[in-house]
Amino acid sequence: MRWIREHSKATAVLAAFAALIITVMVSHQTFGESNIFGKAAGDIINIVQLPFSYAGGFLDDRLSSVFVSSDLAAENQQLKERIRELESELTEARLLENDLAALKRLSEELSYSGLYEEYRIVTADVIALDESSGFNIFTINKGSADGVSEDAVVIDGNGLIGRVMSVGDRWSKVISVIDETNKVGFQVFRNPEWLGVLHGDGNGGLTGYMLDETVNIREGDRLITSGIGGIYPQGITIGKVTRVEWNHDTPLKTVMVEPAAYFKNIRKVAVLL
Amino acid sequence: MKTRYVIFIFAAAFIAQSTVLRYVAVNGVSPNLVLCLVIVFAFLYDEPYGIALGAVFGVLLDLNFGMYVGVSGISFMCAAVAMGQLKKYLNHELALPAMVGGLMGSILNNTVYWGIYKIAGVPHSLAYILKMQPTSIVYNVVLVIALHLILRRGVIRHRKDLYYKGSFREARGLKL
Repeated sequence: MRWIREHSKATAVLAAFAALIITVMVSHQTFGESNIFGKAAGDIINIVQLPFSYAGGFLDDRLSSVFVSSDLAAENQQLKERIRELESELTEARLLENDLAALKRLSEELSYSGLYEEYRIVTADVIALDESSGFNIFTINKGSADGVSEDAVVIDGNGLIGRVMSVGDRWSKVISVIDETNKVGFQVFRNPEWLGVLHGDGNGGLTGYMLDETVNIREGDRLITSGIGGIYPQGITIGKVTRVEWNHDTPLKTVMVEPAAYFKNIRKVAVLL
Repeated sequence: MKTRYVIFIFAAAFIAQSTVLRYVAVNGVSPNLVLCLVIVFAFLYDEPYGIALGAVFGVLLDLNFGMYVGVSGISFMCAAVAMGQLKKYLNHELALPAMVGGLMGSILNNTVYWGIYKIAGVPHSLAYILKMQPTSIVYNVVLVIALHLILRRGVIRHRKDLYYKGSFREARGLKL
């Protein structure tokens, strides 16, 4: 007791350390699930963060439009070429319209449902994202009050983003697919029998391996979720293969993948419920 | 500096880190503004701002982005305690010692942070962790130097006046 009285500052620091260590242990035991205090704190933090997040996005739009003005001419040219390509594709698509109508009739007869038709989709804004921690975790402004639950799949217009790892009333923490801990089973779009597993590579990309090393996967192949593992439904676009190599150490055929979703400036996502 | 101003600075840094700093990320890594403030305040001030606010805002960061709550709080506190010891041996008025402090604090923070997560069983490989360290540390050191240059003005008055005849305590910004 005397030592405590004489070293009050050191005692306070040690007590704080002990309290934090206990917090980590409790959090570890509950797999990071927030308790009632954590959820309440999360609610308050997210109310404060929301306007700043919107303001940051608004400023980024305005400033980036100033800095990229020199690239606009080149982009304009690319867009014109793209319009020409799309016009020719549209012509072909019209020719195939009759075939499509026939296929739709067939799918109705077979009671086939599309990729997202069996899910209810909730759109959400990304309100907080910290790239200094090393984890690719971000917060969205939809939670259990909107029907979001743990392990709900998160996508954007381009493809797979990740899954919900914990939920508050009006917020959810999402772990993105580019985090190393978040493993995804994939299949190659060109040949759905070619399967593999992907995870984050630490540089904003994905890396993984093929389950069968004899398959002829190559650069440019599109990868989609395989549905194996039970979290991610089959058919969501993951990305494009940028490199294939043989790993002598493992020995496995490894693939490097560029994600379809643009994680650097992620603002709006959709949650599949 | 008054405690309420320090709390305000930390709160602003926390909000900025979680909302707007992602727009200045390099190689997918953005600076850890709260850690930089913890290092600078622990290095410049005798009051335990760095330790106390590091613990509080570390927990808040974990609530937002961490896998487990409390890990950032512990790593920030370790960095603050180390800075408190380091300033006994280095001149905390100069930018170079601040750079050394930023470097050591950042490395210590990252080591403790990932060390706890490895003990907790998070399956990140060492290669994955090490890959993002150089960018993170360089970014933090640059920010620590910038914050040190700004915040030392409030701590050390008349820093360049070699012939200052006033009170030493007043020149150091201490209460008279």
